[in-house]
Amino acid sequence: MNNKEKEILLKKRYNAEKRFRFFGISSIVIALSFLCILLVNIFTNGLSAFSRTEILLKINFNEKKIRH
Amino acid sequence: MKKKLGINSSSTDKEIKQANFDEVLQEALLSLAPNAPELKQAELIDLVSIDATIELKKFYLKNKDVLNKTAEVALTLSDDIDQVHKGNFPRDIPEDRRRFSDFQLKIYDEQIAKKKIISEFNWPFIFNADSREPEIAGVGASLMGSFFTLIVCLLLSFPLGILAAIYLEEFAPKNKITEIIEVNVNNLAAVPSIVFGLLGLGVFLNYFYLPRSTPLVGGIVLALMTLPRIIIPCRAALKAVPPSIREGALALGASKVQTVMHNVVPLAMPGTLSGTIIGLSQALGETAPLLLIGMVAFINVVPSTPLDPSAVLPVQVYLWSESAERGFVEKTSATIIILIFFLAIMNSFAIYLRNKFEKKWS
Repeated sequence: MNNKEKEILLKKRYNAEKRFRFFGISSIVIALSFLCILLVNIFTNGLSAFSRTEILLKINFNEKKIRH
Repeated sequence: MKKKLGINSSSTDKEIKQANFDEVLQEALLSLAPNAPELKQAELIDLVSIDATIELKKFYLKNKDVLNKTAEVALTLSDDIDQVHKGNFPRDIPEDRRRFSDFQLKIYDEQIAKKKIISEFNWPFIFNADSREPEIAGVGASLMGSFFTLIVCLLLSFPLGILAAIYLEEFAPKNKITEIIEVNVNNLAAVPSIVFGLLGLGVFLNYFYLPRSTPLVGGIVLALMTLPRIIIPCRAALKAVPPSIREGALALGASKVQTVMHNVVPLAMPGTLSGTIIGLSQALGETAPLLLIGMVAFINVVPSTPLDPSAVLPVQVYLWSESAERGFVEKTSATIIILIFFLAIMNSFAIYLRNKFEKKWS
């Protein structure tokens, strides 16, 4: 094996390592982004349920109109 | 006995609870648009929740001095107006395709301008039981149901699981029978959870006649499911205790039981406990087996014992996700938020236990 062949082999191995890193990082990013989409979706949909809307009504508590 | 027409300042609480506040409420609602034609009056009354008279009664029970006076009371609006207020319903579509009329929208806008429409934290959502009306439906019943179910599950699966693991790991002879048991424990952890539901239906409901839809049966079924998930990490934790601990105890004259109970098990506890909590948090999120034992029933009272019918949080998510009203869409997601919140608490507690008590052997 001469020097040139060795260099090509080394480059191949480095390239394989780079590819492996890229796939690993991208799979983590994809998984995290799915988690983010899920959480954002649930929280944007659900947070409004923690408030309720009320109306302030003037009530006349007339004792004759409160039936027993 | 003379029948009284109204209540007065000397009425007892019991009499007030039986009293009917519909008429005062109607009067107040109709006064929002005094000259409304008769057809529109029903729309005015529909503005508030059907629970509004009960809220009125509760207000009166707290403030009895308002009798024959006028007071401003905050009443829950109907879910349609609630959704309009939160911006979930479009207002600019034709009237016949909306769940609220132009007239109701006009009254709503008037009240907004007068600052009479307010938003508050939705405590009833936390404490109320389920309801067909989204504005008064809450997760209180399913929170209690989940709590009881988990307690039953913990009380059954934790002692059984730990004892089984200790016996299998420390005392049992290594032969064909224990090998078969070991394989079966591992297989049991992989059985689909709905199969446990079928087992619960067939055995606990149809054979033992335990009460249907209750946290008791739910807890038993989930305990069966959680057992292998406790046994496996417990055995791993026992295996991780170095033999020198056992040998040291035995050398000092401890019996086999003393060695295991005083030396090995306490050292294996952190791993066992975190395994148990993770198993329980899986049980908390489980729906399928509970569907089969009838915990999908519509329950509108908060259960007070494990023998009362109830729902659990994931089943509540399932029930509400099928409801048509727009108000249940946000309630479904809010229930998921509560469920995730409890799961996160349980899992971080497991991590805390592991980090705090775990011993590193060098």
